[in-house]
Amino acid sequence: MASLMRGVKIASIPLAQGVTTLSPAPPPPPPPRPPGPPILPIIGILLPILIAAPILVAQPTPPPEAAAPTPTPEATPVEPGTPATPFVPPVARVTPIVLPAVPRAIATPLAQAVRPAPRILPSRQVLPYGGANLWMPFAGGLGLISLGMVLRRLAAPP
Amino acid sequence: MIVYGVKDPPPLYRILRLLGTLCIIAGIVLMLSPLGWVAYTAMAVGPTQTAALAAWERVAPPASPAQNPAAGMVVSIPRLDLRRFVPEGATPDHLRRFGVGRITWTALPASPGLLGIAGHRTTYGAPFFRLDTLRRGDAIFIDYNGRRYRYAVMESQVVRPEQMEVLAAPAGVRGIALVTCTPAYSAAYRLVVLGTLRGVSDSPAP
Repeated sequence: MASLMRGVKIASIPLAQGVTTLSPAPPPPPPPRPPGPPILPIIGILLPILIAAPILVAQPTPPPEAAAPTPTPEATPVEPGTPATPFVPPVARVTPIVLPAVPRAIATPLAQAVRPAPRILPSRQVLPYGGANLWMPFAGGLGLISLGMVLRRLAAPP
Repeated sequence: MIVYGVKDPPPLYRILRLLGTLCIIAGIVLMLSPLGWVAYTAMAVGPTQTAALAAWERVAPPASPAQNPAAGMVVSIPRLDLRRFVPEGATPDHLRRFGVGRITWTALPASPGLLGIAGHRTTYGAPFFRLDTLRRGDAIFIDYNGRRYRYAVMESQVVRPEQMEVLAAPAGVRGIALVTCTPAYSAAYRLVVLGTLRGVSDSPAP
């Protein structure tokens, strides 16, 4: 045996060079499930916009000189401490309302738009409706988003 | 490429996932709808209000002091930087077109009693959005029939919609009541700002 091995060099086989493993590669870890829609940022963005929307879309106010109060010397202020009742109207109206023969110019172009409402008590007996329940669709949307997140979470395979 | 260890989810899970996605999309649309409603109504009432104000300022005061209910009036609140044409009538139709309106069964400025003006809080231009910021003594001006009526804010009240008595002034009292919904984005209650007449003068030239 020793004679046979004489002159023979034993070299280590570089197994790691160019040899691939025969076993299948371990499957890559499943990608992390995409998180649901970030609800808090959505609310954080939408809520200030909703609150500020009426201000943002408010009509521009006419020039200040037209809106600024300019009391004239002819004003008849009521002295402080006295009720406003002593005020005497400049022209006491004792006759029924009489429409002028020539109505104001504003009545002509806006005759249809500014048609006076009947001077009667309201039938519904409530103070006029001056707003909208905008919180309802907002809350409904919030509920739907929450429901969607729950459904997506349930849809995750076990 | 074959990926080991990942299977297609069962159909039930796919349906649930699809439903969840649809719910989220619908929820976002629903949450955005108030913004669209506020913007749409503001755009709808803006041209009408602007045209009415311009028409009001073009005309000269009437020669006769006879009251013309069709002419309407103009309300100005310096603290709110607000100036609006107020038509006769606070019906939903009036409020939809102008944002504000005079409650017809309340007193006219030249008559004893309370002049009631209702306005939208958040939609249709939101004329009374900041009505709750008015403080005692703030001025409210009403231009009507060539006269300017100056009121001073006295108090604010939050009442139920059916509490009509808030607009019933004691005998001889001349004042104003601005009515809108409260809290904002809700129509559950009414905010009523009450003021008393402080003086009358000629309307400033437009």
